[in-house]
Amino acid sequence: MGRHVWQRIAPALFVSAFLWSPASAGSLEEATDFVAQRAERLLDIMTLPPGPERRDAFARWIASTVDHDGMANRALGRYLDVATNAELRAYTVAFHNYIIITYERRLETFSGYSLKVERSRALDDNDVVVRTTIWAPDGGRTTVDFRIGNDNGGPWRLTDFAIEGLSMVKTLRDEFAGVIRRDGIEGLTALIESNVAESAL
Amino acid sequence: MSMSSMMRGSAVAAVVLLAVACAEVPDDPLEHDVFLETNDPLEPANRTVFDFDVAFLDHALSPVALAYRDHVPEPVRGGVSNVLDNLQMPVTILNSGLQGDFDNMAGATMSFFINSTAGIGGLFDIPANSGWKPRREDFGQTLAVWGFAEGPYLVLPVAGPSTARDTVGLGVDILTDPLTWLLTPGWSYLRSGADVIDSTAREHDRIDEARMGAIDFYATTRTLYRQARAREIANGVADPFGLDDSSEE
Repeated sequence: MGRHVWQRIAPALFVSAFLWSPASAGSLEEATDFVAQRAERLLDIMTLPPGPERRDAFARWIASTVDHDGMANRALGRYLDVATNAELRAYTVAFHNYIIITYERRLETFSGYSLKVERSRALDDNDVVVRTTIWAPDGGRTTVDFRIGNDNGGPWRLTDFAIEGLSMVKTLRDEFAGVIRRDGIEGLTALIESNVAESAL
Repeated sequence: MSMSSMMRGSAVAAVVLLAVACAEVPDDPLEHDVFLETNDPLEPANRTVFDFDVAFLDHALSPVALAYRDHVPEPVRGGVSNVLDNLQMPVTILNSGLQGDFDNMAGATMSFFINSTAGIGGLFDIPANSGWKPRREDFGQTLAVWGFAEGPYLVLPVAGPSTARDTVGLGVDILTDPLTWLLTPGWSYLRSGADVIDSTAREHDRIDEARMGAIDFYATTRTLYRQARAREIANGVADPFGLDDSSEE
């Protein structure tokens, strides 16, 4: 698979982004800074040894960085429209725990890596994509795209990310759809809860 | 390839087509949409084959691949990977040409000749040391570039996830690979076996990572395969969120 060497984002990119983007250059810069800071913090957390301290730090990182309710809703895809309030509440809690337990372990692959922001683009006023390169200690590179939003002018929050083009929300949505078709949203929630309980051991 | 194996292949294709045609499409509008989006009408059969593949991976392939990874020095494994990559190069050359990607075709041709001669049969990947590595191309990607839809999702015994388009592509790749016709059956089996062990050794940790915490590993594999394949068809330029999309400018 082809990989490219990209340069650190240049001020000119912000200017060109401003020319065609509906968002202001200021908000794009603010969004890009948010991603850079939060991703750096995540890489710091992943250098901690596995255990309660790292899990707590990761849970705090999720709370201050990720739009987990929105992410949970998008992972339901078309089934969001037919979920009852009670189903949605139980599922959202399970989803939140699942993200903490599963992604803390999946992301530990990036322990000791460093990050460089490559460029960013505002898809609209409240929706920005930031491309980064994560460098392994041995020089290997991974492209990670972060998608962030700030609905209603609130703080920026991560709405999705893609490692080498594999989107987290799309992967979860496709995975969940099969379970919901078979066992309904309640069945999915039960499966997530048992998965979390098993993984937390 | 004998006439009888071609007939067997045709019979399998006919059974697959019949099964797809007979798959029950849900009446409920929401379920109907999800069914079409998932595009996996053979899911029950695919899951059975998938379970077999996972068992085969766990009990046969992984132990051999991990022993190979843990006991064979990295330079030797690197050499084996290079030889196997070089043997695939004629397929890449043909398909790059069929896709009109003449840069990759020229690069793959150059790599193949340099590595087959100065690189001692591909043991050393000399162009890669200078930063040049042609992209791997196959007939499944060519069909996608030509505009053919991917068709229903399929799980092949041992070979794993695929689609109707990629399965046709795999068959054409085998037929158009000069080594299919040049190697004796014994060498062909050795090459295929080495390829499977080498790729399992390299991908083992990633497979484990995807499996870890998966709610439904079958569905995870299906979506990751499709997303990764889309990236290969786009020549490695993955842009799931439209960062590079200029249509809105």
